[in-house]
This record gives sequence, C-alpha cells and structure tokens, in this order.
Amino acid sequence: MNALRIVLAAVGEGRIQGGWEYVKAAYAICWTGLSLYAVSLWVRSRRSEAPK
Amino acid sequence: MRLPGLVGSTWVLFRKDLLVEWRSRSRVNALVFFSLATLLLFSFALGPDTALLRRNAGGYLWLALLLASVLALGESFRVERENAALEGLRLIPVDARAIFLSKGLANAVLLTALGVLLVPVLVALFDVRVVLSWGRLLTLVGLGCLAIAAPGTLYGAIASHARARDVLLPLLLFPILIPALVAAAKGTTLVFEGDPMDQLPSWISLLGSFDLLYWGLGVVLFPRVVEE
Amino acid sequence: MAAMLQRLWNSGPVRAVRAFAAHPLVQRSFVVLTLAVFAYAAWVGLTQAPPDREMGDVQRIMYAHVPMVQMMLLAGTITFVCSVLYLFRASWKTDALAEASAELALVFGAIGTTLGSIWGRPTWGVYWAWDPRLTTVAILLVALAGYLALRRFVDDPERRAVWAAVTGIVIAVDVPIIYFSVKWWKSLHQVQSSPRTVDPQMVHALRWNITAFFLVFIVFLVVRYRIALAARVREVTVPDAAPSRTTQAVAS
Repeated sequence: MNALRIVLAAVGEGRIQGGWEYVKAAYAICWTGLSLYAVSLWVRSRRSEAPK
Repeated sequence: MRLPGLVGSTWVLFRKDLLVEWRSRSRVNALVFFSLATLLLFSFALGPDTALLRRNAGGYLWLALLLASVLALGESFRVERENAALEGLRLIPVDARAIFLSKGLANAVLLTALGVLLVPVLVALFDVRVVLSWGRLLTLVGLGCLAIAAPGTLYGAIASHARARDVLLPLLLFPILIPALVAAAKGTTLVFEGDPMDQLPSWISLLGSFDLLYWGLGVVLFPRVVEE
Repeated sequence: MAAMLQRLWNSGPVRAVRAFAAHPLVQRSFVVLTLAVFAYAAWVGLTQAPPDREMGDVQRIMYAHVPMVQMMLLAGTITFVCSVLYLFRASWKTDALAEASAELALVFGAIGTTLGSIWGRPTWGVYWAWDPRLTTVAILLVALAGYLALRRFVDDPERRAVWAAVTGIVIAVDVPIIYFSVKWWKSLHQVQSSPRTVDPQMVHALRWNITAFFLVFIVFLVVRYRIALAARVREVTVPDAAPSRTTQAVAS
C-alpha cells in the first residue's frame, strides 16, 4: 500500500516547473503581432479612403 | 486546310521548341556548364568528407537540376516574348493546351538530358555508383523532370509577364515542387546506395501521381493563363 | 444556382440584415465586442484554466496557438474557394476577398507557427521538428508569400486576378501532397502534444479563445477586403467596369 502511494504521488511530477517566461513571450508575440497588423490595416484603410 | 488536332499541334510545337533549343546550342551549353558549376559548388561547400558527399549525391543532383530548371524555363518563355511569338501562336488559332503540352514536354526532355549528362559527373565528383539498374535511374530522372516541367511551364508563362520575373518564378515554383524533390532525391539516393527495404516503388509512385496531377491541372489551367 | 443565390442575397430579410450590418454604429460595436471577448478569453486562458498535468503552465500557449493556426486554415480555404470561384465567374469582389484572405492566412500562420515554436522549446526540447504538420505549414507560408508577391508584381488587374486564382488553386492542391510526402520522408514520428482527453475547463478556455480569435479574424478580413476592393476600384478606369467575363458592377 505504501508502494502504491509512492507511485501515485509521482504522477504529475513530470510537470514542467514554472515556464511562465515562455507563456509571456508567446502571448507578447501574439498580441504585438496582431496589434501591429491591425495598425497596418488601419493606416492602409485611411490611405485608401483619403483621395475620395 | 484542316487544322491539326490537339496531338498534331502538340507534336508540331514540340518539334519547334526542340529545334529552337538546338539552333541556340550555346544556351543549352551554358545550362550544362551552370549545372556543373553548381555541383562543384556543392562539393566545395559540403566536402571534403567523401562518404558524406556520396550519401547525399542524390540530393545534390536534384538541387542542381532544380536551379538549372529555373534558367531553362525562363529562357523558354523569353524566346516567346521576344517577338510576341506566343500571341502569334494564339492567333492562328492554336489550342492553348497544345502550347502547354509541347512546351512542358520540351522542357522536360531538356532537363532529362541534362540529368542524364550529370550522372557521370556525379560518379566522378562524388564517387557515386549506380547500384540499382540504369533503367530505374532513367525512370526517376524522367519522372522528376516531368514533375518540374509541368508547374514550371505554368508558372513560367505567368512569371514571364510579371515584374521581377527572375525572382518570381523560383519563389512560386519551389514550394510546389517540394514533394517531387523529396521523392526524386530519395529515390535517386536509393538507386545509388541500394534499396534493402524496397522503398523505391513508393517514391516512384508518389512522383508518378504528382506528374499526373500537375500535367492534368496544367492542361486545365494553362489556357486561362495565356488568354487575353 | 448562382441566380438562386443572387435572389436570396437580394431578398427582403437578407437585405435588412445587410443594412443592419453595414450601419457604422453596428460595426463599431462589433469591434468593441471583439475586443471584450478577446480580453475575457485571454483572462480565462491565463488565469482560470488549470495548468496541465505534464506541461504545467506552459500549456497555456495552446489557447493562442491553436486558434491562430485554425484561422490560418480557414483563411487558406477562403482563398482557395475564391480562386476556384473566380475562374468560373470573374468578379472583383471574389478577387479582393481572395487577396485579403491570403494575407490573413500568412499573418495568422506566421504568428501561430512562432507560438508553436515557443511552445515546442520547453515541451519537445526543440524550437523546430520536421514533422509532417509543421513542415507542411512552413511550406504553405512560403507559398503564400509567393502568391502575395505575384499579386504585387503584376500590374494589369484582370491578368493579376486570373493568375492569382491559378496560383491559389495550385497551392491548395499541393498541400495534401506535401503533407503525405513529408510523412513518408520522416522515418520517425515526433510525438505531437495533442490533448487526448481534455479537461473540461481547458475545453471551455479553448472554446472562448477560438471564438475570440475568430471575431478578430472577421474584423481583419472585412477591413482588408475593403482595402483590396477600393484598390480595384481605383485601378479600373471606368468605376463600374467589371472583368470582361461578367456584367456585375463593382459597387452594388
């Protein structure tokens, strides 16, 4: 029974500790990328409406 | 005078293209020397480990053919543009599909000849040996060059009318050709190194299916590409 | 079939919906709604969803990576459908939509692949693996760049539309072939971290994020489509001239 408890305790211990830097980097890239693209769309939209 | 059908037109135009190539042998020669130079560059960039070069020779052959094909395809359509020859053909009227088939086949023949010519060079430079039969090697080279020629002719027609055509053609062509490149290179390596697990038939069938698909697609789409 | 769709498009209720959607206040509210949903979904994904049993908090990248790649696939499909449609029935609107969608596919795909790469570092140990899915997406992104380059380098609008349509079809047809050839090429399979039985809280977070990114995609698509259509209008000398194969007016 003790052996079983030890084995069960080990389940989930493959967990990567922390790793928030990766999450932050990923989300930062995602949001920055989308924002930059949104800005580029906005600028091009203004430019395409301008001559009218 | 009865106009020739599709096969007839294709044959006539095919002979025309080959004749044009033959008459301007200097261009063909330049192509050969370009491929030789490319193979030399590979051996300098990736040598001098002879074992490594021998193992990868199949890949080098197809890279050299791919690079040469861009030149060959570009030339093939420059000829047409120079005297508005393509428009003239269309006005006769020639079936656009015949133009695609003939040009594609002519390019394929040219590239196959180039490929066959390069094999002795590989034997010399990379210490390659043709372990499996020459027939299979020829099949591979032929099918691979057909694979390059079909989308190559389609995109060649498009790129020849666009700006930055020398950059546009390889940019459009190379991603599309990756499956054919993989199959041809892997198959050629097997021919050079031996095929203990009998993988060659699967690569050949992949190449064959690619050819069927792209020649079919080309016949359907090419008329739209060249119409006014 | 086309005539039936046309009748449906011009029918009373559909026209009412279209008028509603075209109202600037409605459109502005939609953008605000999109931002709100996006913020909520990010919050759910980053704080409310539980960490994975093996991957820990790194797994949260999935909530951004998966929707981005799904939107890339959606955009690619739209471009392919428009390419085929254009060859049957030439229309500047179809062409403009194909262009807009292709650009979005490239943007969403590039960002999505980068996120996947970052996710791969702590989980697989490498930034890149030559597995079939990843490799196919990489090739697809290069092909899309070629498609967009083609559009930039052809000046005649009609020819550009036809050639882009042809190129779009060739690319789309090639994708499954690339996938299978890479599968054969890779002798060993990398383990892909796809959730087997996914925790319901994770499903909840993922659903919200997919919705959020879909709304963002719609907003971007509409704006980009308008830019493309406006460019066509400017290029074609007679404002309501259409490509020679149809009698449709541009502004209808």
